[in-house]
Amino acid sequence: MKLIIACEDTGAIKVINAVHGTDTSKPSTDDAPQTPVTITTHASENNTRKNKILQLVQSKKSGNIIATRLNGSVEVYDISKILKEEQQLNKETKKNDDDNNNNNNNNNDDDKSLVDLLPLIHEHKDIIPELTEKEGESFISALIDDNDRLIVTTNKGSVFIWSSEDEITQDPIKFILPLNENESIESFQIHPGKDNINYVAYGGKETDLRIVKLPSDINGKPEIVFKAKNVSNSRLELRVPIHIKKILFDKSSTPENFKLYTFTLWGDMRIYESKLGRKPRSSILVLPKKAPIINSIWLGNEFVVCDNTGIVVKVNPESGSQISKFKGQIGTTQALNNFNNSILATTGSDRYIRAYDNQTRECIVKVFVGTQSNAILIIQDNESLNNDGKRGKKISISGKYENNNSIDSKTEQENEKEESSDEEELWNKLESNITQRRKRRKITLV
Amino acid sequence: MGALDEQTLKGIKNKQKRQQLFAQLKHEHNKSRHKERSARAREERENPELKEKRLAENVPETIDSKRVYDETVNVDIEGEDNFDGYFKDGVEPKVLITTNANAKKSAYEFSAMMIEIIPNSQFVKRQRKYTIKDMADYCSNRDFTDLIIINEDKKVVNGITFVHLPEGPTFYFSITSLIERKKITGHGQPTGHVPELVLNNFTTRLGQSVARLFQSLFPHKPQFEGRQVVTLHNQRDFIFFRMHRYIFRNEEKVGLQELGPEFTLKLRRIQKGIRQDIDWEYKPELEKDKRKFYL
Repeated sequence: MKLIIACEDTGAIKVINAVHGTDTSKPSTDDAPQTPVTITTHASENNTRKNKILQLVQSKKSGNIIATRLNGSVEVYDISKILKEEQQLNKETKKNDDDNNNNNNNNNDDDKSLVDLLPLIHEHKDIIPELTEKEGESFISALIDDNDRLIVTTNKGSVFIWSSEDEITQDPIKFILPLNENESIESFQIHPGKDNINYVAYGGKETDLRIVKLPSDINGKPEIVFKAKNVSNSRLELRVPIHIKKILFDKSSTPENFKLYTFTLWGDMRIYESKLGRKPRSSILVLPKKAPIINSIWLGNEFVVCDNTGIVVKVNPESGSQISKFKGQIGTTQALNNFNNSILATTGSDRYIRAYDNQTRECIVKVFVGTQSNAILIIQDNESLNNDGKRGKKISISGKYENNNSIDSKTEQENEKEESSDEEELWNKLESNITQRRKRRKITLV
Repeated sequence: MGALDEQTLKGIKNKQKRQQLFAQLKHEHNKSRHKERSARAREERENPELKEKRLAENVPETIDSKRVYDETVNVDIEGEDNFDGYFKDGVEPKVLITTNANAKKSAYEFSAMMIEIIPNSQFVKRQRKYTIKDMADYCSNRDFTDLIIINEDKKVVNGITFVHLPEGPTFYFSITSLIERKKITGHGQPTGHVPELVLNNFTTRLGQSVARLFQSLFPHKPQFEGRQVVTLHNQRDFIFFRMHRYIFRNEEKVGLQELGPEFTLKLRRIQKGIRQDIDWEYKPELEKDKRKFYL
């Protein structure tokens, strides 16, 4: 599995290559030797904490990585070399076998290739001024829509659109989202579907959810098509504060009937359906207790929601109930990534990256990376999840495992039969006891 | 009586007799142990190598020595953190100490001690109307590098918050086993010199952050003529605070005089910024494994 993370402390990018079952927090012993993990640092030159990466997205078309930085620049990195790295290394090892005399030279070449594995191919500097004050402008989201356009948004409501990441050096199309005074954006989302990419939703602190239609021509102004109303006052007739941290569109949403979910600083999920009115259809606490939701993503047909106390839960979108937990985090979980609806990657302030199997919720990769990170992407995973012995056993319930080890499974079945017969006897005994007791009771009653 | 063992003892039904016999058994056991020890001591006095060998082989197992593997022990700190102002730019610390709102006598007494311990610090009485964020802004505008808030509950000092300024992080520790100076026998009085700082056993990445916090509270150069040392010793995630004055009596002997106070800190929470997102938080389930330590 190959993962890319953005380092908060250094402003660099790290590439982690680890196989399933890796856990660096366990010591390597003779019985269970540590599986090799390679962590390489890229883009560390000229970058510091002051221009750290804020968002990482992967282009669907070319697979390139797009990064937005705190100093107001947007960068594109080519990951094709990283993906090919394994093949290259294999070739090199073959070469090494061929002529052992030139070992040192080959190693030097290896070092050189490591430096350029994640080259910066495009860069657009100073799209917005560098963040110097607390109230300054910074990027809050970078998204790739269904037409492969790159859309970057700031907290002051500026939207920059590039038709593809190759044209990032050119000036983008810029729109200003309608905002009142003192309002700021913390979350921004594009409507799914190729025809509806001009509908965007946004919200933030004391900025309730709005959906606007971005104009198709450059000089047009975005028009508001939906403006949400706050929930009713609380039991004590107090106004409920608004603070949207994340917005997600439902897959069934259409411009005629927008269906979307917002996640708040107080751990609530609010479901909006534009046909049913401006107020949310329901507002449900989705976390075990009130805590700020930091991030949420779709994972299959469910949400994964994380907060700032180390809780990562899978939530049912309809009822808002917690389905399961992904355990192990300490402190804030900053970023989540969904890989083909089968693997969930998390990272945050505890300086670990973790990858979970969606089905079994087992932590399949846990690596200490040394820095806090705020963005994670799984870029490659060639291993199948069922190959692992442990998980294979669990799957044996559905019958897949039995084919592999037929003898073991037979003995297991026999054992099970024996156990079940014992159990039946016990139940029969218990039942007979109960009936006896009842009889006795009846007698005494008489 | 020599054949008496515990099994036969259990079979005796008279309690008085049983107690008597048990005492006898214990006495005999002790006697034999003492004999064995004195014989061994005699042997080792003649042959000191035996003692060395025995001590080398007989290392007692402690929870500390059984500590489970932690890959973050002694890792290099990557990149920058908020303490770089002190470590790289050489900014001298300036500390403001205050208490919780509506504090009682014990909190003021504790803050008086803290002012004596931390050089270049001053006390400001807490007003109820100001939040920690307000105070942090106030302090940053006046070039303070740290804000310390002492928490008292039911007339007992039970917590201390360190806010590094201007951008955090915030550390919260609980305080237990506080012994005031006057209750320490043979204690001395601290002088106004900048003390030396001993930070013991902060090894993990988290421990290093905590050590950096304590280090950044004290000026870069201690005044050695004061011969005062502040020790923060971490053992099993408890941080023991002690303050001493030392004297070199001769080339071999060093004298120590405790200056006090004594207290124990335990890290409960680290937050980014001024009490914002949580970086690390103590939870009881973190202590499920007795041999896992986080600092």
